[in-house]
Amino acid sequence: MPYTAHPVTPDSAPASAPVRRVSSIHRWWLISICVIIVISAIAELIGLAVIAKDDTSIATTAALTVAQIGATAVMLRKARLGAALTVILAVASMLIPTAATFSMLFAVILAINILTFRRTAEGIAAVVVMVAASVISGILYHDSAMASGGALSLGVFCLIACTGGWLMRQWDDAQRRARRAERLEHDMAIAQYLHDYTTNDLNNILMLTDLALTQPDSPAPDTLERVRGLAKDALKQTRLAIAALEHDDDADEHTMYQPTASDLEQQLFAVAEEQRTLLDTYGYQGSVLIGEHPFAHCSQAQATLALSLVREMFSNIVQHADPAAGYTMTIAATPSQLHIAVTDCHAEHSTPGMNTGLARLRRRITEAGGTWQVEEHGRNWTLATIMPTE
Amino acid sequence: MNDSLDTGKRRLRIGVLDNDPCALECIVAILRQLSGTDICTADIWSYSRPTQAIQECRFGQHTDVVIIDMALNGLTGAQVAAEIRKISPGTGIIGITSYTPDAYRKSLAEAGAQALLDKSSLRTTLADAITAAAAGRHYPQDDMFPDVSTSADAPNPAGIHLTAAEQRILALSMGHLTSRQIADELGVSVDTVFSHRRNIKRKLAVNEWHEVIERCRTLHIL
Repeated sequence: MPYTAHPVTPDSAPASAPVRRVSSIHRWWLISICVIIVISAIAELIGLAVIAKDDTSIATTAALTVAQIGATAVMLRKARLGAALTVILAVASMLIPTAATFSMLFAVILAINILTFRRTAEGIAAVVVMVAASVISGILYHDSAMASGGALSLGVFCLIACTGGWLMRQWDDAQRRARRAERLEHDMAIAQYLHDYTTNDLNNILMLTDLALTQPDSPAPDTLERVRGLAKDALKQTRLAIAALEHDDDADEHTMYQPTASDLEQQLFAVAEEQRTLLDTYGYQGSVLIGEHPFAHCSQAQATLALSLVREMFSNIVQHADPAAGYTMTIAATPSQLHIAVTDCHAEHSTPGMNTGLARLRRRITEAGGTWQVEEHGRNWTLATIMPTE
Repeated sequence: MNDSLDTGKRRLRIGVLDNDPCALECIVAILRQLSGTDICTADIWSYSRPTQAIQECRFGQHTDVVIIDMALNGLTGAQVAAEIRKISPGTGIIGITSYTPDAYRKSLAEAGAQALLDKSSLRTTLADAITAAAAGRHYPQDDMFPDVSTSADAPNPAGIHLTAAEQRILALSMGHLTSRQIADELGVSVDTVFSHRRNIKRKLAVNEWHEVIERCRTLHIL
């Protein structure tokens, strides 16, 4: 059965590393802020150039501003290094008697945000360093902005930047966990899909091969044709599953599409007829009653689960049922529930019960809010399931 | 059916299928009360699941009359009736419903049933319906339902259905091949051939294999 392949993005790397890379979304945000900072720094430089025609003390500020532009540019390429350089330049600007610039303040806030996002301890350390520098500046230069409450304001801004970086990290962590869970679920679904299809196909191949071995001379051509058909189908499904696992974007012809409930309904009828014919070959007389539009109220996932259950029920018949007693299966739906049941008579040498596939489906159905009931009356065995639908 | 040795009343095996446990219990209680009338119900089985009822008809002791609810969690009583008709051609089938009977009448008749009763009036109608169905007649007399013999013999969708394997075995049997020869020809085991033959006999309601051939010729099955 075709299945949806969810391509894995480059960002879905494991989230266990403490220092994380800047994702593509973050990168665009970083570029935007850096551009704003650089533009404001250039504007301030121009202003300083106009003011500092005859004032050499402004030259230091201008030099620091140029260095800050450079650090911002480095931030675009290596965010952590650029952020660290920015913090160092900001500390230097406070310890040297220069005029503080707004672009420097913005750059520091950005730097602390980046450092906290990358590693919380680094962000906190940057805040501590900045606050310490501002306090020292206030002590050294009594007439500076830091001495008149500027240190407190700067500290608050730094804390806000640090908190913002921490929140972004938490959100990023949650996104990574969700992507990892989605990928695991996708891989599990592929594994289950492989089991549902190839296991049943291989089981049928074994049965037909056993049948062929009983023939005195050579196997009947139609038996061999059926074996070939089953093997080919199993190989095709395996290749599709491997392609999905490898997320091969070039293999368009192997892309799995998402079947609708209507497609699955047609598959249900096809599976019922195919399995009934196969069981008939082995002398099982059976009835399969399918109600009108059984998947009409089912989601794609529910219909897929139901189809898997039907396949496993047929497999279970072969493994445990007495051919002479036959089997009966019903698949029908009400507007709110899907009812699937099977009754057969277990063979004398067989222990009544479920194969591993049914055991796994039991868990999935009960987790989805459905019911799973097994009844035994003498050798008669009944499995009745109810799945709530949309 | 076996006649009772002492009272002359008919001893019947009656099955009931209803997914409503309460309704099922009531119907069984009504049937047990019928022992005081001209029917003696010797054996009653009841199931709430169609799979169990159909298996009972397929594998269990012959059932004289099956009473089937028309609404079975997405399946119709007509679908179940048609399947039972294929499996057990000699069984009388009575449909029951809480809804308007007219909605199910046509499909149930085509499925080969003998009567359709309203659940609200079972106490007054069930006994006569069982008597008629057990005798192979439809009920009431002027209704559109077929008799058992008509529903089993007529070439309708609920008629005798032989699988492809069964038809092959029948065809080879008519060519005077033994079971071993048939098994070799089809590439199956002898036990499988015997299993198919048992099912063919059951579907055609005969006991001996030579009767199968005669019946097939009569019904123009092959």
